[in-house]
Parts: sequence; C-alpha cells; structure tokens
Amino acid sequence: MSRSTSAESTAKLVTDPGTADGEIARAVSQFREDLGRVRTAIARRLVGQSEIVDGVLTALLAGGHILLEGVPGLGKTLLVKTLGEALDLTFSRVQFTPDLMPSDVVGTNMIVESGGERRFEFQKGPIFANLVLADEINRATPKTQSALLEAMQEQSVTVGKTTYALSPPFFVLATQNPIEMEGTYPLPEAQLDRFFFKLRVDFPAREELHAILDRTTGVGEGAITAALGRERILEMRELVRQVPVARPIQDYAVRLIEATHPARSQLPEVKRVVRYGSSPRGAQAVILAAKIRAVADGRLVPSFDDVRRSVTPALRHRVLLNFEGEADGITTDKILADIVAQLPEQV
Amino acid sequence: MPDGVALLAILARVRRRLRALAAFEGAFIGAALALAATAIAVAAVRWRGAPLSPRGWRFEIGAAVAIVALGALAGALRRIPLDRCARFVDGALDGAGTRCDRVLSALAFTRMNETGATAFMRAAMADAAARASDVAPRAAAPFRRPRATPAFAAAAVLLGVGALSPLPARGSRAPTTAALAGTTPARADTARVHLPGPALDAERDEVAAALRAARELRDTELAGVAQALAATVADLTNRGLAPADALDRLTDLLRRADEDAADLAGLPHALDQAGKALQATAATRESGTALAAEDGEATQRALSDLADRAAAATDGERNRIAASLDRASDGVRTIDDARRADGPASGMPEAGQPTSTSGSSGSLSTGATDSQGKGGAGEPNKRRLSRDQAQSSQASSSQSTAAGGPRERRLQRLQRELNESAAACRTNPEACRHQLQRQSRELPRMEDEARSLGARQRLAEAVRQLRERLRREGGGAGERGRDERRFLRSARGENARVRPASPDDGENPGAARALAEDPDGIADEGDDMDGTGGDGDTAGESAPSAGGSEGSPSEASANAGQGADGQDSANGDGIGNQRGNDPLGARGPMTTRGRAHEAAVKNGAGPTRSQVIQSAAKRGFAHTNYQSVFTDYQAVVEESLDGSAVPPGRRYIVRRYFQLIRPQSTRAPQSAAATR
Repeated sequence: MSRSTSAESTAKLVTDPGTADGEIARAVSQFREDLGRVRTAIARRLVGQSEIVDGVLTALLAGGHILLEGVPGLGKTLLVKTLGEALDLTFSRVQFTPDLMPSDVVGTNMIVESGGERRFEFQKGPIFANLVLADEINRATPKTQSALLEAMQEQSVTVGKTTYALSPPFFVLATQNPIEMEGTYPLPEAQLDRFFFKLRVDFPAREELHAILDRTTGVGEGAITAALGRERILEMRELVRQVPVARPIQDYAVRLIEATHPARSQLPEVKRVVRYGSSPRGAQAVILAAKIRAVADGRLVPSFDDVRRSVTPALRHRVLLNFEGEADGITTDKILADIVAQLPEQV
Repeated sequence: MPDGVALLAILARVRRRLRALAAFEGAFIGAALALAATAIAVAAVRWRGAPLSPRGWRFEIGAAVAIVALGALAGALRRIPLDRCARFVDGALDGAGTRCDRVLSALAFTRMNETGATAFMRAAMADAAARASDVAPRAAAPFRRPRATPAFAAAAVLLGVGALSPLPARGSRAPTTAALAGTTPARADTARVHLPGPALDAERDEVAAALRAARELRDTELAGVAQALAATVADLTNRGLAPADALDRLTDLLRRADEDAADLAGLPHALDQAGKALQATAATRESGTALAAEDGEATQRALSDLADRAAAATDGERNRIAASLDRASDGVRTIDDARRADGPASGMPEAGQPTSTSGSSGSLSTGATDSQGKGGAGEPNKRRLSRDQAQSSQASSSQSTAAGGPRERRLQRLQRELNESAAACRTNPEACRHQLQRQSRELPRMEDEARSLGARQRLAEAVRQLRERLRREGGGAGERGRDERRFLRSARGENARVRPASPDDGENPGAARALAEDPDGIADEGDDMDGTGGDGDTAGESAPSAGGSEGSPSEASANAGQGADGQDSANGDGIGNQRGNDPLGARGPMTTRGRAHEAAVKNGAGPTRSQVIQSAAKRGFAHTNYQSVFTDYQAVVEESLDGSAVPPGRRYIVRRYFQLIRPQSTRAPQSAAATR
C-alpha cells in the first residue's frame, strides 16, 4: 500500500464516529484509581513489598495465578489475607503437606442423611474461594498438586462425574520454600507454566523491618476496608483485555520469547545454559502484564518499557536451565536480564 | 482534523527535520573526508616541493565542495521511516522519564485496516495526536553534534600538521635540475676543474710550438687556435674552469684546429714521396732532399737553381730531369690513388686528425658512459660530453665529405705541376726553366701548408688529450678507475701523497702502471735510454724500492720521490720531475788509501730525472739522441694504437705517457702521425 493510500485509510479509520475517546479515557482513569485504592489498602497492613503487591494485583487482573517463593516469615500469608480483605473476596488457605489428599483441596462427596434418605452430597474443599493460598505447595504429593493445578487452569473442579465451576475471580497464590527442599516435591515444568507470575519475596529492608515491628508488636493492626468488589474486578479484567498493543511492541515481546529459546536465540549465553525457553503462555503473560502496567499507569497502550518490566516475573519460571547453567549457578533472572539488555526494540 | 492525519502530518514534519539533520550529518562527514584529502594533498605538495598551480587549487577546492555536497545529498536521501520519527516524538513527549511509546503505537494503529481498529486504538491515536501536536519538530529532533565531529577534528589536526609541520620538501633532499642550474657561486667554485701548472707543461709546449709555426708560416688561424689554447690552459691553472665550460672551450678549439685538416690531408706524405723520388736522380737530388725535409726556403732555392741549370742543360740531362719529375708525379698519384681507394673516411687516419677525432669520440663516449660524475656537475658534464661527441662526429663526417674535393685538387695540382714540368723539360729549355721556376714558388707554399697541417694536428692532439684529461678529472669509476686515477695523480705530481699501498704494485708490468706507481721508475727507464730503453717490468719492479715505502700514506708521502731518506718532502710536479736519489750513491767503506773528501751534497737537491735525461741527450752522453728514440717509439706506438684493438679509453693513457716523457727541446718534434 502506498503512503497516500495508507494515510487515507488511516484517516477513515480514525474518523470512525464510533470512537468514544472520552469513555475510554475515563475507564482507564477509573482503573488506575481503583487499583491505587487497593494498593493503599494493602499498604496499610503490609509493609513494603510493593513489587510483590503489584505483581499479585497484575496477576489477579490478568486472570492468572501467582507462585510466591520466599523463606518463611516474610508476609506471604499476610499478603494474601490482606488482599482478600482489600478486595472483598472469599479467602481460603490450604497448608500443603505430604499427606494432603486431592479431596482435601477440591472437596469430596459425602453421604448425607436428610429426611430419612441418604444421599451423596459434594462437600466443597478450600479451593472454592476467590482467593486461595496454597501454602508450601511443593510439600504435597504431585497427585494433590495436580488437583490444584487442574482447578487453576480449568477454573473448575470435577468430582466423580460432576464438574463444579469455580466462582470468578479465582486466584491462587501458591508459596514454596526455596531452602527446605528435603521431603518436598518440586513442581514439574508443565505445572509451573500455569502460574502467571513467579514472584520472589525478599527480606525487607531495615526501614521496612522497623515498620513491620511497629505494626505487628503494637496494640492492634489497622483495619482494612474493601476497596474493590468482585464485580469491579471482573470489569477491570475485561478492560485490560481491550487494551491494544501496537505491532512493534508485540513484536518485541515475541522476539523476547524467541530469544529465550536456545535454537532461536542470538545470544551465546542462552544457547549455552538454557535447556527450554518460554512457552507461548509466557508471551501471553508478558503482554497482559504490559497492558495492566500501562492502564495502571493511566496510559492507553503499553510501551516497550512495560514489556521489559514484565519479562522477569512472567518468564523466570518458564525458562529452564540445563545442567551447565545450574552448575554454574546462573539464574534465569540473569539470563532474562541479558536478553532484555541486548535485544533491540525494533529491527 | 482527523487524529491519524494530524499525527502523520506531525511525523512528516519531523521527518523533514530529520532529513535536514541527516543532510548536515552527511555534509559533515563529507567535510571531514574533504579535509583529510586536503591534508594529504597539502602534505604531498609540500613533500614535492613545488607549489600547487591555480588550476590544481581550483580542482582541490572543487573536489572538496563536491565531496561535501555528495555527503549532504547521501544523508538527505537516506530512508527515514515514520517509526523513527515517532520514536523521536515519543522521546520529546516523555523526556527523560519512562518511555510510553504513545506515538509509535498510534502510528502502528493507523496502519491497521478499518475493521481492525478498535475504540481503544482510536483513543490511543487521538491521545497521541493531541500530545504530539504540542511538540515542535525542532524539539522532537534537536540539533546535536554530528557523529563525525571526532573524524572532522582529526582531519583538521591532520591538515594542520600537514600544512605547518617542518616536513622536508623533496626538493631540499634531492636538488632538481633547475636547482642544479642555479648552483650557488660557492658550489660552482667547488665544481671547477683546477689543474696544477706543471701538469699542463705538455700543452704549453704544444702551444709554443704552434705559435712558432704560425709565426714562421704566417698562419693567423693557427696562431689564434694556439692563443686560445694558451688562454684555456692559463685559466685551468690559475682560476680553474667549470667542467662544462672547459669542455665547451676545448671542443671549440678542436673544431677550429681540425678545420682544413681534411683539406690538407695526404699532402705531407705526397710531398715526402715526391721528394724521395726526386732524390733518386742526381740532378734533382738537392730539390728532393729539400722537399722531403719540408724546408721551404731550401726547396725554393734548389728548384730555382734546377730551373737555371735546366735552361742550360742538354736534352739528355733535361730528359733525366723530366723522368725524375715523372717519378715524383707517379709517387703523388700513388698516394692519391691509395687515398681514393680508401675513400674519404679512410683518408682520415693518414691525416691523423680524423682518426683521432673518431678515436676521441669513441673514448668520449666510453668515458661519458663510465663517468659517474663527481659532485653535482657530473650529470651535466656527461650530457655535455655526449653532445660534444655527437657534434664532433658530425663535424668530422661533414668535413671528410666536403673536403674530398679540395684534398684531391691539392694532390692533383701537385701531380699536374710535376707532369707539366716534366713535359716542358722534354720540349724546350725555356719552357722547362719557366715551369721549374713556377714549381719553386708553388712547392714551398705546399710545404708550408703541410707544416701548418702538422702543427694543427699536434695542437689538436694536445687539445684532445687535455679534453680527455678533463673528462677523467670527473673521477673515473669502475675497473679502469683505479689505474687511471693513479696515472692522473702521477701526472699531476700527487702520486706520492695519495699512493695506495698495494702489494702487487711492483708486479704490474705496464709502463703506465709503473709510472703511476712510482715516478722513480721513469728515472730508471730514462737511465736506460741508451738505445735499448727500459721496459715496463724494470720500471715497475723499481717502484717499491724507489718509492721507499709500502706503508701508510703518510710514510709514502714522506718518502715518495726522495728515496729512503726522503727528507725533502717535495714530491715534484709531475712524472719525471721528481728529484733523484742520493747523487753520490749509498755511502760505503773506503777501500783506498789517502784522505777521504766528503762531498757536501744534499739529498734531493740534485737535478730532476727529466733534467738528467735532457742533459744526457743534449751532451751526447747517450749513444742515441733521445729525441730520435722518442720519435721512433712514438711512431711505433701510434701505429699499434691505430692498428690494434686498443680500447679508446686506454689510448689516452699511452698517449699521455708519451706526452709526459716528450723531449723538452726548443722545438717540438713532429708527431709520428704527421711525419707519415
């Protein structure tokens, strides 16, 4: 298409009377305000960890799930509980242990006697909540893990011959301890791929630790009011899906994903230490996260920078290192940082 | 205005701005290249040492401008995608903060088809257009320092270094011909040829002989040539001459001396033959003797007497006179026929001059090729010599061709005169007397011409030798250089000062080598000149002992020419002019009774060897007159030089040798060539 023809087509496109710039702008603005309120509410109880909070909220708005990795005592459970309170969503917690059975998670049919009549009745497990905290998920057996992960992916639970839909928004936050690997069952790659983000909870800074002590060793914790309801969250999810992504930026994301694959990457380091690159789910996660970041920032379209900032949490658990990479102590975060640093925005 | 169109318009303006900047960038790169090229050109010009012509400067400036223009054009024609413009606008919108890529995304949305556009996209485009409208192209694409600035600075520094650095010009390292032509006077002085006075004694003798002959023969032309040679010799001795100037003068002298030489060639021989034929008859013997001796007065007197006697003689006696005249005529005809058979070119050797000219030309050619020149004047000399050679050959050729007629007329006239005289003597006494009286006037005139020719030939030979010496003053290089330089040093009386200590000095059998090695050898040879003469071996072998030293040059200098004692450091002024050894010989024990009287003599204070030779010849101490010995030997040597394959360059040495050992009489002998 010639330039003039393209310009004319573009002119027709942009003069479409169906455009409602003001409404969209207002929606984006509202999105930003609501998200800000949630952040503020969480910050009242949770000290620091803003990156974790943003990641959790991003995954929630993208319809994904979070895998939190961190040593005990860093506020993972508190974060989930606070998030549940701030969002006015149902919350349940499952402590994964080796003897935990799938039915303990998803529920089971039990004989119920009612009016002299005995019948099986499904007793919902803790997974039937909007926010599910799967604490130390790697301590459960793979069978139990699979039950949870099926529910995460399908947004439904099948018991016997009956399938029970999970009420949206269904948001799982799984945690795992990276240091106590004895007697654990590391999640297989296929199941890791189902987590939207994998967030690492770091030890708080000194000031943050002071604040934590001030809040938790005092008279009482501050009350949190619900900032967002269930319906609003679903609307926000819908809005995120409508955010367009320019082809150059999407192309950048695609090239980022390609760069994680040893067979396609131009980076020697990737070829040397990476066994498997990211799946397409990783690209989906990156784009969705970039959209949410853009809208959360009040912008209508994501930028290259949004994509870059989404890469590490979205792909760190989707890129698998080979033995050489593991032996050398190379982390996926470093590999991804190298890719981001060396991949040009446009070709 | 639709947002998309507005956005595209904004981007178009930004693209124009970027194109202008790219053109400037290209021009800057071109300027850097032009600057570098100019620096190279300036350095090259400075190295060459010649200023650049205005046309060259115009070309240089034009090329620089063209390079700049081409750079600007190349920059302006570069493809600038709108995406790049959008990035510039986004950069201006976002500043140093987080990049939002609104305009880039909006531009991407404008390229989508109509059905693919969503409300969100339109909103994004409207948002981008609204924001970008506040951004001026200058703000989106601000002027920045060209990336080629370091290259430009480097080129400028290069130009400065090339223009201002003290780079030595090539001209200052290797003087050009023009520079050589403009040699400073001081340098010209150093290039002058300056010969010591004694080294030119031979030429002075020839000049004196030529002047005497010119006076006797009343030959003004010969006198003029002799005086010109005398002036040249004086200049060479006193103030020196530039080699080219000296060669010019000598070439001109040679040309003047050779004039009419071909015209008179063969005349002396014909007169000699006629005289010998007349000597066979008693009546004409006196006339024949006078004629053969080229004595004009005696010839005139004898022929006049013969005419008187013929008038009163009997028929039989007149017939014998006529027969004698016929034989003389036959002799002349024989000479004439032989010369005709030889042709014009072959006639030259008999005259001596043409052969010498040819030989000289050959030697000049060889010498010119061999001569590497000394100092800056070597090349001009070589070219001058080549030119002289060509001119000399040309002149000789033209002379030999043009002079064929006059030469034949002289001989034919002589032949005719003799025939007519013979016929007249057979017819009647009065006619015989009248004809012989005419002969008494004509033949002396021809004798004078023959003597003039001989004098000119000797003068020409002297000029030729001098010219060859000057050419060799340039320092002969190569295989012949050593021997010739030694010889020339000996000729100048410098052999003792620069004599090299060569172990084979005494083994070289050549006389010239012996002379070069040791002038004392001349004395030994001269002492032997009692009819047998000395050979080169003797001369050569005497060199070590007479020279007194094979050691260092300083030792040689101290002892040379003076024997072992050598207290007097006077080295003499040329070959044969060194002082002799102890005139009393080595002192030994007295074996006789009586009082011993010691002669108070001083070593080295005796006569020179040449003086000893001369005095011995004059006083008759030698069995044979030295002049006769010299003349005989020189004639044999000249025949050998002409007949054998002696290289022309070596002929000079032999001739120079004989020139140096010439008899120092009051009257120079006739050359062998002239007497033949």
